[in-house]
Amino acid sequence: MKNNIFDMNCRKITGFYERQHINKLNWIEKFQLNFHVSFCQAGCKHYIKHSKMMDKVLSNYAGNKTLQLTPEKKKTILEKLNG
Amino acid sequence: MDKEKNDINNWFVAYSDELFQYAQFKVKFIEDAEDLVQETFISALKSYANFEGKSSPKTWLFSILKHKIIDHYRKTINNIVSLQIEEECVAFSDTFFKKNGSWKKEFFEIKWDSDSHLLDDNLFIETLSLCINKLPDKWRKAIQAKYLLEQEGKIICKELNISESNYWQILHRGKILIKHCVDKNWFKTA
Repeated sequence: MKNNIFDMNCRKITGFYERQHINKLNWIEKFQLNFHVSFCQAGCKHYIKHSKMMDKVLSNYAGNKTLQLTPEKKKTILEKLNG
Repeated sequence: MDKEKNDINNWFVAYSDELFQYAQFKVKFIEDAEDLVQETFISALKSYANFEGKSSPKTWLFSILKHKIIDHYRKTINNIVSLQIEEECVAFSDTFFKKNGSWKKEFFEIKWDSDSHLLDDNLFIETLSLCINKLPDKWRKAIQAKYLLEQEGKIICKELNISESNYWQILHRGKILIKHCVDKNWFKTA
């Protein structure tokens, strides 16, 4: 028996939501995602809202994270190399 | 100054930050990444005579660093531990869903209504950082590669030796666990 395209749960749908950022969903999956989210006010809509917010927050976190050796550490290493 | 020391000093100025960035992505703690870069340059100095110039200095230094990272992991038992943690994290992320796959209410008890104040809050950023570090190694690396290094999904999958399907599942589960961790450790105490 074929799966009912309307019979999708939140776990699969929010998985689709994350997957679409990596590879394209086919038209059935897109339809399933949009259809489910339009009705799933309590769960999936909130997940998507949080997911978008988390993308912003994580990108900002990346911006805050140091990507360079500290000057002190550089000094220490150079001293060891030249010592 | 000897030619070898002079070259190594110049390469340190030119490439140390790139090496550090790479090491930071590969290991959990900044201090370990710093030490690995230091060891890389010390090894480079010791084996300077072996550098024949067939590859660029940068490529040579990266190959030394990669060996150092492998040694670092051999020395620790973190790999075994992190496999266990990964299974636990998969199971834990599933607990936010009911048996029929729909969300449990508890997951949305705390709503991140506005991100504007979060982005400026150092304590929030610290909590977030802690929560990311609590993730299994592979998950943390995937998230850091996506957001910190802004790498493409395909490259991340190759680097971490995971399938694309595994990658989006990691992001999905990782976000669920990060939200739960931040809710528990920051929102509830703020």
